[in-house]
Amino acid sequence: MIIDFPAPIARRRSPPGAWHVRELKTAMSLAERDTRLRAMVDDHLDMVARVLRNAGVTDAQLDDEIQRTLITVARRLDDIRPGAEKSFLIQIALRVAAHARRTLARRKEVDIVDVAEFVDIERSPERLTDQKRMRQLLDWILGQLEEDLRLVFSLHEFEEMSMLDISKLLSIPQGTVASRLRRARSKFRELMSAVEVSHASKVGS
Amino acid sequence: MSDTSRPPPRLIEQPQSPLEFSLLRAGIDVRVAPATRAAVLETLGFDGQLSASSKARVVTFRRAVWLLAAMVVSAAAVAMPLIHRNMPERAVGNAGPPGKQNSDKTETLSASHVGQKSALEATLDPAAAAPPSEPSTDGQTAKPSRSTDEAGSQRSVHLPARNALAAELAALDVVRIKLNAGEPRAAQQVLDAYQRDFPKARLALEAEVLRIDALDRAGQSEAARKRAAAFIQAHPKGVLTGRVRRYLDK
Repeated sequence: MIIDFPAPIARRRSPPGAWHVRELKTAMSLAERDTRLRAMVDDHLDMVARVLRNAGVTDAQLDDEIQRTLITVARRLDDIRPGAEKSFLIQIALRVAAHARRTLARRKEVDIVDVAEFVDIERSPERLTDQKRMRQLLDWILGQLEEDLRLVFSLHEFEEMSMLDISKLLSIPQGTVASRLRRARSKFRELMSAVEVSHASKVGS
Repeated sequence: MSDTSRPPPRLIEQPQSPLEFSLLRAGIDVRVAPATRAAVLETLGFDGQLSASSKARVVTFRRAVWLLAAMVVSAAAVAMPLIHRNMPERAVGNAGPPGKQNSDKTETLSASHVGQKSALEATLDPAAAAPPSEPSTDGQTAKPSRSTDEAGSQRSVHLPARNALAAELAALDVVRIKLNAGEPRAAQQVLDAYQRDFPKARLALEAEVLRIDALDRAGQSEAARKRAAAFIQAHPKGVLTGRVRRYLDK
């Protein structure tokens, strides 16, 4: 037997013809769960990866953390309100990412990267379009942001979430969201300018 | 609060430099590799490997389908004798006293459902058909229909694994009805269909005995006797061999 049936179906004595009705209902319920979970994977897996990655999960950790996120979501599928799948996935992904960051910090596996390293990378113009290198530079810049700022910045700039949605998701006032976003942008551009200046000076030298 | 009421444009929409655009593009262009997607789906039990819930669903639906099939077969088993209700009259006329034809009409139907043994007795040995016929000749016309219903209800509660057997029983019931109705050729056609539908029939021996009877009734005595001899040789100690031997000794 592949899997045991729920006890009430298999063991309870029921009037003739009633058991299969219950089984069909159970089957429908299970089918609906599978359909819902599959739709979440199909529609939002890239988003989950993006949220995780921009929330500080490294490239090496990404596959594992995607799996962890989806497994958590699958376990809590019944808790997800219809229509709230996306925000639920983001919330779980953010928690998983926070956990992954803490784990990484405990292992002291975080590379201390200097901005000069990226500037070296950007010596050749074609490198500018190299997504992998850009990703590394973005990781460095995002890593320089405070956690609260990074979160709001990522959700708005990469997930296209409105400030209202971000305030609901994080359970913080919209004014706080706006303030953090402003500060995050300012810091982001400050860091990016530092990279550009370093790049220009190295190229010019 | 203008900041909250009107969402500011994203930086990528108004980039200050190509580098800013490329950086923000890198933050957006995160794609899950096909291998990772496949691994996630596999972990969740989709695609190649079914999830626990999918497995339960498949098993559950399989049960439901089996139940439906059992109900259809049972309904056919019950309905078939009713469709051929008029035919047994002629059969009883051959096997029993003419005056009992009407009361024996449903009784022959019940005989075909009482059990394989009594039905075979009815078809192969007219004398053996008498015992199940006697109770209904005493005016108990209600019983046969009840026994038919009981047979139907018993089959309807057959477990799915036994549905094929129920279908075989139903098919051989039709053969007996045809034989009792004096239509041996029709009985042979049903037997042909039975052999096509059930190449690994569990009631193949009974079918063969019915075939012998059908051949004999159709006037093909020589062919019937050959098959009977072959049957006895192949199954010298079989349950049905005694009846076939009695047919040969007739």
